[in-house]
Amino acid sequence: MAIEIHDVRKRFGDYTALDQVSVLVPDGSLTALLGPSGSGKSTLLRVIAGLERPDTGRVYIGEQDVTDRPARERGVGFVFQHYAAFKHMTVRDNVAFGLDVRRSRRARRRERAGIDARVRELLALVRLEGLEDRYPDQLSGGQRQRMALARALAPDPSVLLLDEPFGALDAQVRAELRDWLRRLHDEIHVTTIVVTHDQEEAMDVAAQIVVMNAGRIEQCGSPRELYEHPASEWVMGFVGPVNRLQDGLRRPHDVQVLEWGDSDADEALVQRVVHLGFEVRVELLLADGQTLRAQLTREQAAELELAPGEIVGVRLGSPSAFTMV
Amino acid sequence: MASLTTPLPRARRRDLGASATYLGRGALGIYLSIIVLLPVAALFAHAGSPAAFWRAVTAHEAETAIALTLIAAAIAAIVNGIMGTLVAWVLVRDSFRGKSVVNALVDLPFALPTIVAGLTLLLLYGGQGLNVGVTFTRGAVVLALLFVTLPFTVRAVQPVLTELDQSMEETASSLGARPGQVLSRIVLPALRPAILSGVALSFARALGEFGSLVLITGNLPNHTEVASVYIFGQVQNGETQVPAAVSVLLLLIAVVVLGALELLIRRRSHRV
Amino acid sequence: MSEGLLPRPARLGARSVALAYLGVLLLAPVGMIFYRTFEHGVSPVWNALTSQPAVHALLLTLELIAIAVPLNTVFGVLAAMWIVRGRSRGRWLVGLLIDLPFALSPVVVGLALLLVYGDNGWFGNTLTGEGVQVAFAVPGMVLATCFVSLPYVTRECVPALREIGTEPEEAAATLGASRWQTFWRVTLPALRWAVVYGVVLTTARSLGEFGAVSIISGDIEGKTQSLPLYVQDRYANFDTVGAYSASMLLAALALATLLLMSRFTRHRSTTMTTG
Repeated sequence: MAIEIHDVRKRFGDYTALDQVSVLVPDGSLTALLGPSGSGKSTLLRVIAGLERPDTGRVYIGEQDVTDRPARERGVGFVFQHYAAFKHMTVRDNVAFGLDVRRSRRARRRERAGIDARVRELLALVRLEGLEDRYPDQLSGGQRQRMALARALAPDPSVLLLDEPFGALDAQVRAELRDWLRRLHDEIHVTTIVVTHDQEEAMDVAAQIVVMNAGRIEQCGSPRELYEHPASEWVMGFVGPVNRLQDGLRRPHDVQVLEWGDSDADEALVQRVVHLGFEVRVELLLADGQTLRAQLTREQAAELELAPGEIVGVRLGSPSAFTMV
Repeated sequence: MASLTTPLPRARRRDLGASATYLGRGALGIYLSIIVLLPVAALFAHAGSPAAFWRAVTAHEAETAIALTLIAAAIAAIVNGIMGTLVAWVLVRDSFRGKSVVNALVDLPFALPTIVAGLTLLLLYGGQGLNVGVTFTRGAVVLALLFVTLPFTVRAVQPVLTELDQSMEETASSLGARPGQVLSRIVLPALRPAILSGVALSFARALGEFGSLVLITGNLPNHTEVASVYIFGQVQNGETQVPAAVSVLLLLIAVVVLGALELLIRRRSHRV
Repeated sequence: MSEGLLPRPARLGARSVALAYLGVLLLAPVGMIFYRTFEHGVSPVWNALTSQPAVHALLLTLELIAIAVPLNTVFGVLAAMWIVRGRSRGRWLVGLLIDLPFALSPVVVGLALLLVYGDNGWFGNTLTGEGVQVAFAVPGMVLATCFVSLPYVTRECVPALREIGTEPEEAAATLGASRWQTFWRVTLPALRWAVVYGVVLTTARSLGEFGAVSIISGDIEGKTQSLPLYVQDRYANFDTVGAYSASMLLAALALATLLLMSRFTRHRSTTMTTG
């Protein structure tokens, strides 16, 4: 189901979390809400879920106006950063929760077999089969988050919302789960929104990214669009590394480093060469005192035989232009 | 992987939660009014005009009782503030056989009825026991209050001490501080809010103590009679205004002490 | 455990002082009670405990506990929910009223109740007119016991609720649970250890209450005499065996309470109570 946010405002006391936010999330897509902390992305997610009520504006899920509906009637699945596991229940009871609470005791008894089958199916989907009788504190962080995902998916939600789902996990687990989430989405095609402050994560996972800052939407687009055609300086700086020079902004990989002697290249002093394995970062000092960074491949760096103290030529090209200021 | 093939129907239930909340709060409000609010209001209502109030609390017997109560409570609270901290330190940092038993026993003054506590103190220190000559003296008051207020500082300090990051102490030591300096410059300042909390709670508790004092102090007016015993006597004599006035005074003192403690906690938690 | 801050002699010294203090203050008196009670054998103790007034006192005390503890448990949890999760302005008042018993002498509690429900009190005459005798009767003792043991369940549940946080409850809401279902299936089970510990404390406090019930009950033997009142009554009548026996029973119950407390304390929240 598609999600539409129309002109939503939300304030907490003096603090404006969302300021006239409107966005459309296409049906079946995997969208990221990206922004620094305090940008309002989590608040927006919670407004969609029904965990916060907007001061003004409307929320539509699948063309139905759900603004006045409580969370329990919206059919959304929500996954929290810190799992929000029901610690006193087994994994099975956690996952079955959404199915149990919608049925009377008699119905629960009658449909026990069906519910159990679905729980097992979901646990297999998230690769937690065999762990039904464990308790959350007997699982690792990554396993707990997968359980939370299975739990959210059990009642067949029309929308899946994840609030910084991998934030509490360490780097390797995070990378694995990112991959895994994308593959899961490929299979089940539920409209999914992931909130994250990590631009690499957003670009890796999502087909559409909504970039937010200080309660407003800065830009909405595919990862490529955002990187190659940022709408503003801020977006450009947030979405990737950037050189801020007097005449504008440039990406490090747009800075060409050449042998000194080429006529239209500027003079620059190599201050530092950092070998990051697959790429090489060069920190340069221009004649007018500005510093900038360039990004080269291993081969390019080797060819130039870069070392600190050397003089090289730098061709800058024109700075990025923006559709918005 | 197979897609999910068992979509299940969704049942809708009317959410009575909101009305239940208001019902629950209403019942709670009624309960608290019957049990607490009305009686305390009646206390203030019967305390008399400011003039009558003043007269009641400055009457000789009342004044001596109040003074004795305040001083004895302060002494007990401070002594147990020190000893309680020591006990907490030993329970947290030391290890010896039977430590868990000792830890459990610290709560004895809470679990034991006060009248029984008084009786046991009398048995041990009174004429039939060690006969140390403390019965019917002011010392008996302090002794009983020491018993009754023991757990407060210990239990206030223990969790804080447990959570205390020992790396601070280790750093100080590695920088050359002697154990005494580490204690006075690092540990005790960190424990200060908890210790103050324990002392304040002990004081408030000791102000109102009754059961353990009736037997061992002899309740001699103007000598070993504490405020609570004085109030009791006045009530037995059919008085209302005088005991109500003294009660209100005790209540206000306790509220001020506990309120100051609350403010201290709040301000501290903002700083940390 | 790491080496520790204090050198060995200081550590042993601290330990000795602490244990000596505790021994003198706590153990010796209690040991004395058990010694003195059984000084003349078991049968006088047995006779004393099975006498009519003693049995009545014990049953009355149990009756008070049976009423006060469930009431204060239910309302205690409700109050904790209101204080932690509520959004209305009245929260501070609830917290204040709940904590008030800590600031009041039991004797003052008795007086306050008398002023409202006693014969010359605000509602005393109205109630007696309806045939309900509160003061100098068991209902008054129930009120007094409820008053003094009011705070414990709430004070345990408040930090526990804060520690649990709102996320499990929000998760339950998104999964389709109603407010009642969320409370019953998610919040309450998460609170169960705090509630258990609070119930132990509430029971211990109700058991030992003396000052307030002393005033409001009139201390009528066989009618309104709880076990602690019975102890004092026996002592005042020079029936030392009776007094010591009942004291010993209460002390034994106290030790049982300590056992339960130390067993369940592990599960409590570790955040400092802010009242």
